[in-house]
Amino acid sequence: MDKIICLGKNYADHIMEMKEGTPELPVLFLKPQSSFIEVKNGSTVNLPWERGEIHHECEVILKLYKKMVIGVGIGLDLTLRDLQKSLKEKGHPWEVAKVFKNSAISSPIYGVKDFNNWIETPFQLFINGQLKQESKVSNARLTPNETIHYIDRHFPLCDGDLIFTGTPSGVGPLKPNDEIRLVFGPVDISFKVI
Amino acid sequence: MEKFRIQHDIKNILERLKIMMTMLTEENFDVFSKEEILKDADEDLEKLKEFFNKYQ
Repeated sequence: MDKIICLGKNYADHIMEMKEGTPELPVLFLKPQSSFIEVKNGSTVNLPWERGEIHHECEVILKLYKKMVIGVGIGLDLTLRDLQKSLKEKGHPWEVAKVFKNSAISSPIYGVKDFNNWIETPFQLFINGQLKQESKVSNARLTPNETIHYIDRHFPLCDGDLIFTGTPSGVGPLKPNDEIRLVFGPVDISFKVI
Repeated sequence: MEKFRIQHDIKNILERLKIMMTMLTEENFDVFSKEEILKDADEDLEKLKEFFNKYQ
């Protein structure tokens, strides 16, 4: 993997809940490989609670090869929301609110053949047993192909790059010891944030 | 600069080979056929050899 490319404002319901304007196209930002962690059942993930509120953003993840989607998974794009808000208000870049250790959490990536129709398959985030976020990729503003073409116009795409495709509504803060469960087709994994 | 470019190219080839091996072992041929993957792997292995043949 060379990089993780993330989309912001790709789900209309999330744009509404954030009470921010709708850009013509979703926003793009990068996370480095060093911010990435792949979780398995029973994993624990350390987070920097001392840096302020950490919000979960549940997203479908695409793995690319030759600019085609060869695998998909589900994960969390974590955000230091207080810091991001303060940086946005000052008109500053908010990269530091997005790039920190374990801020890009991913399930194992499954081949597209393991899904019946991954674009129409619901993806869900449960925290301590409560459903917090749910949607499907077909609800996003850009289709997966449009997403790849859009990114390709701005960043050099490398084989193995991951795309975090944006989050639907329901984002909110995490707390230490929260039990996270991610469900998406054949993926059903639980882990804890500490 | 040349040294860094070669290192980057080798890293990309190894990443591609890793992906191709995963697709082969998982029989993930929905997007690329087994034949296409094996052809790509051959080409990448040849490229990899060329980097090392220079020093033989």
